[in-house]
Amino acid sequence: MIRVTIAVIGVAAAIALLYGLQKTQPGYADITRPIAVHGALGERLTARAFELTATKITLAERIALRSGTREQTFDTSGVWAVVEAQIAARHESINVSSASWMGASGVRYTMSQRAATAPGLLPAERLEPGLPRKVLMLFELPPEQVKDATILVSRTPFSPIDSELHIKANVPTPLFVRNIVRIVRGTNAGEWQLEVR
Amino acid sequence: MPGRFNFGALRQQAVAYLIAGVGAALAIAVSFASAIYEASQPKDIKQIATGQPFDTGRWTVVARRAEFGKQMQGLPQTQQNRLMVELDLTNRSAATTASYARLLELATPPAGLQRPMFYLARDSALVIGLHPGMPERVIAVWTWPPGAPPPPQQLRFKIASQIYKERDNLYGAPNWFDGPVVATLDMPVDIRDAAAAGK
Amino acid sequence: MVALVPSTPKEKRAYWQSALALLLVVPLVIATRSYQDVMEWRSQQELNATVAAPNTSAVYAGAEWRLERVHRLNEPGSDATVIVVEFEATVSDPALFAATCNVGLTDASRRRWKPQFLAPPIARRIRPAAVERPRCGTAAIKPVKAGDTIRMAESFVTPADIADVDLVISLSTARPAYLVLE
Repeated sequence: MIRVTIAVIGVAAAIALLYGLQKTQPGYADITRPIAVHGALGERLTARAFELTATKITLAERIALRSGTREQTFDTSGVWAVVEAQIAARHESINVSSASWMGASGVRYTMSQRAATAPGLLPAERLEPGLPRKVLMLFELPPEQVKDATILVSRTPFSPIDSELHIKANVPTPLFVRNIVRIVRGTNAGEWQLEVR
Repeated sequence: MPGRFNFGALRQQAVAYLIAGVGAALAIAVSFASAIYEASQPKDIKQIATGQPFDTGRWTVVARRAEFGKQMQGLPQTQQNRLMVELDLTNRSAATTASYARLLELATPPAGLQRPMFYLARDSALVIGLHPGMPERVIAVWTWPPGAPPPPQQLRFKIASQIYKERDNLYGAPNWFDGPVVATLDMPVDIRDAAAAGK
Repeated sequence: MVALVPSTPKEKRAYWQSALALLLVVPLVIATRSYQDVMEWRSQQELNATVAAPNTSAVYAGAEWRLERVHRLNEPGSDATVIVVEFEATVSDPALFAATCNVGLTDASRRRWKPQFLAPPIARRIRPAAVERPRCGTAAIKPVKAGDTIRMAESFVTPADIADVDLVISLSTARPAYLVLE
């Protein structure tokens, strides 16, 4: 009688353990997720191949590109988030091509490619070791996703086991949304600056 | 080997294997039967009208209008006739995506019709990705094959869906997959250009 | 009861021998299945260096290589400097030489600068003859004959305070061996 009870308890325990293991099994996306490096605005974060310091976030209703006398304007149904950052390659020449804005609910907004000819955009800059550069990341988002957001930056969009920067974007509330941000080319090649109105 | 062949032990082993196999056999039978059952139940296809928002899984589609001709305001002008359909699309998934290529298809396309190109009405330029929760007016443009007759006054479109699977069958990774056609849309086509109609 | 558990000494010995054999067989299976992938990975790495001292030449991948000149072009007010490297190779084995080429510039800190696709404007202004030269790896497109001397140049953008630089070349046919021209 005792042996049967022990056997039954043993089987029940095994079933419970296996069920728990099955329910808590991490999915493929969790197993291959990139390794997160957490930080905040103004902090220098070190990924495997590059270092980045996000310096400023400006919200605007419109973005304008001015080159010479021509000006091209981009508007959006939400807001533009213009993120300025300093970035440097660590060991070899690279291109960092992936940045997204993850709202508080986990929804991800990849960099907007509408203003693709703007100077200083992160995916277009070839980074050389020893030469830090200032870059721009442009995001289009609904206003609800601006609070408590995280900016994710990694070298490529699908980078399993590589590192990914998670930068806490502390945008103060109530949101201060500018009218327009102009990206103006400088006189020398590769130079640019922002005009905020 | 010494001694006679042990039939008794063999039979006991066979019984043990049989009992262990019953569970597996049951599982296979049940999954096979349920797959056949699901395939035999066709999903009913809704009929929607212009201006009616419709949820296709990944996108919420509102068809606005359709035009046929050589030029539509805001798009670059070309020499060929084009079928242009204005839509409002909202991305319902959790990430920026550009997977609306199969969303709208003609029910009876002319021979040689290629996939449409999608333009953002705001910029009059090709769309590269639509962001979650942000409705955008998009223009789907089909380049009409040169020799084909112009479309009828009422054109029928098929609207395909996309399904989200938490774990797919290959890697167990979450992904969106092409689903069945879930709606048809009859749209009046505004045929511009007397030349286009006559061709 | 059912005879699924080894009971006789003979069966017991067979059981443990099989378990031990598993210890041998499993690594063997892993090695056999991944051998090709490991070899392919190895052919992408740069492991064995052939070093040419300054002003000397070295034999690598069916050619004799020599570093000719290193030009530094500084633009005042910029933290970067453009380095244009001219080098040549005298081909002895065209089959080995016609391969895709990985070039890089390294310094004492072992950082690596990859070449620029297009020569920067300052290089085209000050060293037009060097910029005219083909880049490394064009032999894969235009075939060469044994005895030809191919003159090549590559341009790099590096920090202005860079000290001694070495040119690192590796051809896909010769990796994991690679060449360092000092």
